[in-house]
Amino acid sequence: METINFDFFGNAFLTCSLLGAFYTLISSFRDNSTKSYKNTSFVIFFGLFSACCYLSYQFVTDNFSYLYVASNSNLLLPTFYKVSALWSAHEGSFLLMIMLLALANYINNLVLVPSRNLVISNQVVSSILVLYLIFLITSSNPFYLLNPAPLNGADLNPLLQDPLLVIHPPLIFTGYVFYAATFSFVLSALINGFTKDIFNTLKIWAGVSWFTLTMGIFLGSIWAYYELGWGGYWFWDPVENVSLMPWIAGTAFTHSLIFSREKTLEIWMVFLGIITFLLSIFGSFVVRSGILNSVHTFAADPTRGIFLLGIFAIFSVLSFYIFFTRSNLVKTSWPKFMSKNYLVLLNNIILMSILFIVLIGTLYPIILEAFTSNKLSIGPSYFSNLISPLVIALLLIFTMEQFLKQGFRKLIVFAALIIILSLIVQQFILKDVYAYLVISGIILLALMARAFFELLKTKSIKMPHKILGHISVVILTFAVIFNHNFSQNLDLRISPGENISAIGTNLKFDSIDVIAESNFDGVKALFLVDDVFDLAPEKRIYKVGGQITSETSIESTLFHDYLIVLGDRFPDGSWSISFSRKSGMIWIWVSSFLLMISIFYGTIRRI
Amino acid sequence: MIRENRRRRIYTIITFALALVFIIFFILKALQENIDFYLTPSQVQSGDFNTERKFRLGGMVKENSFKNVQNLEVSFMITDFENEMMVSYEGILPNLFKENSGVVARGYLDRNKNIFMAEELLAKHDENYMPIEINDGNN
Repeated sequence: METINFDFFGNAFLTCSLLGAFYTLISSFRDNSTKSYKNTSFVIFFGLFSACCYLSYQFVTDNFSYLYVASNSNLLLPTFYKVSALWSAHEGSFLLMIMLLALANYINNLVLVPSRNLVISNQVVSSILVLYLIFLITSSNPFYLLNPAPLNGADLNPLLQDPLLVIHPPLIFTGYVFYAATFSFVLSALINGFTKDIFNTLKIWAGVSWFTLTMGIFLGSIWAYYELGWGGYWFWDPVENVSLMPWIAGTAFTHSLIFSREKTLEIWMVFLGIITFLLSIFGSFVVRSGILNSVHTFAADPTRGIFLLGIFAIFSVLSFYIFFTRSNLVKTSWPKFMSKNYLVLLNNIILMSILFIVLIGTLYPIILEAFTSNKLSIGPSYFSNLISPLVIALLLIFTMEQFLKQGFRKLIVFAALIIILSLIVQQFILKDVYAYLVISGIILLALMARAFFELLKTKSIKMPHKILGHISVVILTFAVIFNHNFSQNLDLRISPGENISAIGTNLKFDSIDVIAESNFDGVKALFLVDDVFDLAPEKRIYKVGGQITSETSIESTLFHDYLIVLGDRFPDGSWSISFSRKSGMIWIWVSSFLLMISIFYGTIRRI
Repeated sequence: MIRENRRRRIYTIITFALALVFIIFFILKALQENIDFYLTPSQVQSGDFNTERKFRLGGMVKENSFKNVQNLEVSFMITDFENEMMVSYEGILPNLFKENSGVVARGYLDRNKNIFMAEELLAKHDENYMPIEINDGNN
C-alpha cells in the first residue's frame, strides 16, 4: 500500500519563510518607524532558497521518494535537465517564483536606505509572500514523500528538454515577480507622495522588470520557432497572450514614468503600475488554472485556480481601493494638448487599446463558454487585423515626438505627411501589405536620418537607448509584416533520391538513417537545397513515455529561413514533409535583441 | 492656471473616451468576423448551428477509418461516439495524430458530399486529452 507523507526539511524551510513574512507584515503595521528589515528579508529569502536547493539536490540524486521528483524526472535524463526539472511543473515553478520575489525584496532591503517607502514596500511584498506561501504549502506542495519510493520516475516532457526552455519560464516568472516589487513602490509613492527618490527607484525597477519580461518572451518565441517546429514564433495562444499583457502594460508604465519630470498625471502612472502587477498575477493564474487547453498548461487542478483567482481578487480590490481613496483627479496637473507629454499619453492609450484587444481576444472564448456552453476560438487574424493599424499609429506618434523639439513648423510638415500617409492607408483599407511596409519604411528612414544628423551636429546622441529602442521597434514591425505576408509553405511527398523544385528552390532528398541516443530512438533525413546547404530534420520516439517529436531543421539566410519538418513514412518508402520558406526571421530576432539592449542600457545608466 | 489645467483635463478625458469608443467598435466588428465555433459531429448534424462558415470539428479519430487516398490526401472519420463525420485533409499529419485519439480539424463543410474539408489538423499534446464535450457526454 502506497502512502504519501510530508517531507520534514522542505516544509520546515517553507514554514520558516512564511513566519518571516508574517513577522514583517505584523511588525510593520505595529511600528510606524523606518525600521530596517534587512535581517528578516534575508531569513525569508534564505528559507526559500534552501528549499529550492534541497529539491534540486533530490532531483540530481534521483531520489524518487519525492512525488515531485518521481513525476518529473527519470534515471536516463541528462543531469542538466535534472536541475531544470525543478521548474518543469507547477509546484516547483511556483516555489522558484516565490524565491525570486523574496530575493527581490532582500535586494531592496540591502541596497536602499530605510525609509517610509521601504516599509510600505516590505508590507506589500510580505503580504504577497504570505498568500503565495500559504498557497504553496497547502495546495501545491512540492515536498510530498512516496512510500515505498518508485524505482524510476516518469519522464520530463520531451518538448521541455531544450536548453532554451530551461531559462524561458523562470525569466517570465522573474519578470512577473519584479513587477510585484515595482508595484510595492508604486503603492508607497501613492501613499507617501511622489518624491524624486521614489521615482528613481521606480525607474530602475520598471526597467529591470521590463527587460526581464522582454527577454523571457523573446526566448519563448525563439523556442517556439526552433523547437515546436511549426515554423511560427507567435501563435496568439492564450498562454502567450497572458505573458504579453503585463508586458504591454509594463511598456506603457515605463513610458509613463516620463511624466515625473514635469509632475503631470502621476495617477496615470500609478494606475498602469497596478494594472501591470494585476496582469502578472493573472498570468500565473491563467497558466495554472487549467482553463486553457494549451501547450503550456501544467497539471489542471481547479482548486488551485480558485485559490489564485482569490488572490487576484484580493489584490485587485485592495489596490483599487487604495488607488481611489488616495488619488485626486482634480488636483492632478494634466498634460498640455499636443505637447510631448500628451504624445506619450497618446502612446500609452494606444498601448492600452492593444492590451484591451488581447484581453478580450483571450477571455471572450472562456467567458462565452462559461455562460452559454458554446465552444469557440478566435482566429489569429482577429489579433493581427486589429493590432497592425494601432502599431503603425504607435510608430507614427513616437516618431512625431522625436521631431517635436525641432520646432513647430517641422511638426506641421510632419503632421501633413502623416495625414497623406494615412490617406494612402485608407485607400488600401489597411489591408494592403505594401502600404504597411512603405509607412514603416519611411518611419525607419526618418528616425535613422534624425539620429544621424544629431550625431553629425553634436557628435553625440542624447538618450541613445530611446532612439535605438524606437528604431528596433520599427525594424521589428517591418520584419513581422514582411514575414507574415511573404512566407510560403508546401507539404510534399518525396522519396529518397528524388529531386523536386519547390518554392523557388531545388530540393533533393538525399538519404534517411536510423539514429539512437540514450533517451530516444529516431530517424534523421538529409535534404539538399539548391546544392548549397543541407537540412537534416529528425523524428524521435522517446524511450520513456513513448512520445513522438519532430525536430525541425532550419537554415537561416539574410532574408529567408528554410525549414523542413519530417512527417510520416508511406508503405512505398516515400515520406511526407513540410517545406517552408520563412521571410525576415533574422530581422525579427536582431531587432528584438536590439530592443533588449536599449532597455538594458536605459536601465543600467540609472544605477 | 487652474482654468488652463481644467481645459487640459477635458482634452485628455475626451481623448480617452474617443479611444475607448473606437476600440470597442472595432473589437466587436473583428469578433464577428473571426470566430470559429467548435462543434462535435452530433452538433453539426443536429443543424442547430451555423455551418455555412468555417468552424472547428472535434472528436476522436474512429478506429480503422484512416485511409491514404492519394499522394498526401487522407480521409478519416471523426466520431463523438454518437455520430460521426467524414473528414478529408491534404498535408502532413501532426505527430500525435492517430486512431482512437483526440483531434480538432479546422475547415468547412462540403454540403454536397457531406464531407468536412479540413485545412488544419490539431492533435493535442496531452496523450490523455479528450475533447471536453465527449467527456461531458460520457458522464
